[in-house]
Amino acid sequence: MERRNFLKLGLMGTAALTTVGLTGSLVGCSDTGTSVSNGQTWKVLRAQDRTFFRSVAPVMLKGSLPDNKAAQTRAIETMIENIDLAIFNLGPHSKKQMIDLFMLLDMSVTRGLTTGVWSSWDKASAEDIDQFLHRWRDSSIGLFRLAYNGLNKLMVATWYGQPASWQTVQYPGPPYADVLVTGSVQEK
Amino acid sequence: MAIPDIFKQRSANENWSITDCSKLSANQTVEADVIIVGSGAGGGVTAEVLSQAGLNVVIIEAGSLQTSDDFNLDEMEAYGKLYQEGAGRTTKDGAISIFQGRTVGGTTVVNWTSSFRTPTPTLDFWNKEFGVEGVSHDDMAPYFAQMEKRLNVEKWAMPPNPNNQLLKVGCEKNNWSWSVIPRNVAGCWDLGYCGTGCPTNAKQSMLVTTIPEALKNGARLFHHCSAEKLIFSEHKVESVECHALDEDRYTPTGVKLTFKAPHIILSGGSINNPGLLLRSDAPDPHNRIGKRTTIHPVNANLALMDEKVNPFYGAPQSIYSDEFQWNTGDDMGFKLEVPPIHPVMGAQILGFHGEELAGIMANLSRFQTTIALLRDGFHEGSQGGSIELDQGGRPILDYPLTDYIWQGLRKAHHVMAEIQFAAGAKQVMPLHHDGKYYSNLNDCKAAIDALPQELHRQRIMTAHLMGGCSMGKDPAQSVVDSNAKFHHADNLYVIDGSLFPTSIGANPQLSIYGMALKQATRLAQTLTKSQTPAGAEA
Repeated sequence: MERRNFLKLGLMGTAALTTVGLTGSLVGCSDTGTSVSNGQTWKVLRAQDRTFFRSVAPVMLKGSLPDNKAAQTRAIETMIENIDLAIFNLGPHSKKQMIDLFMLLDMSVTRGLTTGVWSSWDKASAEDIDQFLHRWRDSSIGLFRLAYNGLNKLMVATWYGQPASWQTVQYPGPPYADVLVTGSVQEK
Repeated sequence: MAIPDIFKQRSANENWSITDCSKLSANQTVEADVIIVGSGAGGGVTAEVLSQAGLNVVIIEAGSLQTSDDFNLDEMEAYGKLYQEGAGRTTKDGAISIFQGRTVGGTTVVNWTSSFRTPTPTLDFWNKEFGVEGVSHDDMAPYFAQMEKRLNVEKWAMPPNPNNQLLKVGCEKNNWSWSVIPRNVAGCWDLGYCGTGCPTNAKQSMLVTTIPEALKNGARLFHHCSAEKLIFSEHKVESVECHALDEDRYTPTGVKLTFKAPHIILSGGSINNPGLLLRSDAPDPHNRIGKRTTIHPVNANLALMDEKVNPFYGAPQSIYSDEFQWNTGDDMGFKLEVPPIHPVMGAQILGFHGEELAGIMANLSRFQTTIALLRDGFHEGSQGGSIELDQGGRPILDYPLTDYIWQGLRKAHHVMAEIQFAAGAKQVMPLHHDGKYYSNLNDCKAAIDALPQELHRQRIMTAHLMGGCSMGKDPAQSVVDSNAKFHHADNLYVIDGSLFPTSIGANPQLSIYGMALKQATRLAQTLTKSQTPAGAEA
């Protein structure tokens, strides 16, 4: 993309970010509250946010996630559950930023303008998603880098926190696990 | 389970008074001689000292009670349960990641056990610049000695793990000073999981030392209990209003608790203490609450070694260097240490994705990571950050990165690269969006000089929160006096790291313990002298 267009896009994106934030607080949906879907209780993430992560995680973690489709799906679903909890744990300031970000990523105009992905997330190609991630990571606009960092941390933490990832990084796991991992948490 | 959970066992045997406020269904009013808000390094020591003096003590903790049975050497589980905001806390602009504990025992439950006395130049600076009294090297030495004995602080006698050993080698090759880190452990297994809560109770955190002693002495602990507001009248705090929190540790259940005592002590740490004061509209005629919050901004270099480093195993911190800490002219001083690197921490600090991330992470077991902890608050170009309240009334740290700090970060990247290549690194990467692996020192240094000094590109973190209720003689410059008393109320004290007028220039836990011991001992003397029976009006 031409640098000039990119800058223009960036400025519009900043305006879009601000607009979404404002809209969010005006219509009172800055806190989505809990919802239940297929027996699973979600504290923060809406169905469309979960779709976003299902689409973006395989690109964010390309080369890290299992190749086996079933194992990969399992890993991503576990990630999404933990991402929901991680955002819930954030203080109101950071939580609102994340929720605003999800609104921006969900609305077609703001998503298209800021990410360059004009199709819905479940139809976006891996190339388009990768381009969006690089665009935000290397953006001249701090807000986009901040948003990239937020999404990046959520996804890498919730993948590398899973034992399934550990052999890929030659981490043998906790020592003396039979003695030290009590399992008392699961027993509760 | 093989390791006895000594907290649980003693709690049952000694009939400790512990209230899990998430389980309460009715509002309560609780009276005591002293209310301590917070159970970390400051609150723990204060609770021990005051309960030993025979005072009726209540400890309030917003986090949950997690003990050794709950510590499963698991990053995800621990970050969610034991850290502020699930370890996702950041500064206001999101540029700096903040690691701070939120559990009974506070950050002492998850810190890496490094235990340094407050450096004398820091103490002298407080006296000279802020009129803090009674903090000379000789004044403080007996308090540090007593806390070192209490918490079994000794230089780490076992060999350093390879991650630390390489820092030592790199310093030696450059002819730079290094030393062994004193740690507060007893019977340490050398596991490397201090950050997820010690599963063997070897770490002498407040959870297994001062809090149990206070509870044995009859202190009462309320957890899942968030201090919302101090009720001021005239020159006093009348009560502390709290919300009971749900099992999820954040949602108020609707149950309210009111704590009343003749004396109130804030030990909730930097960020949360100023937050509580600001929420309570505490008297602040000079607008000092929350100012001078210092953090030891941390940057890091990643080195790829030929051999296995296994940075996830072994005592996390055992070697440090103060070669660039003092006498640096106008440059910002910094301490050099290493962090433990487990998979989540490793992946999170990188800031890469896709195959680039996978490629770097594949060599996690060969990572050597060096960090620099910048000594902020000592120079006109580094006055710390300030605490403000967000829309929900929660505290948030606005921390400006000044040119002076950027210069310090750059210098630290250079020094760390010199150490790492000298120690045999095959490649070194300064952690920054635009950094990558460089295979020789010259290329690496040239790249460091070219890194844009911009937020959200530079990776910066902190695990040391200090200041915000700064101690000093002049109320126009500070929040509390040298005895920790709030300038504008007769019965309110702040005892913990939030009263430090600058950063420490070393991992702060022993500085907090020593100062808390000194201030709490003096307070105990004052209170027991003037004490009237609990409940009676003075």
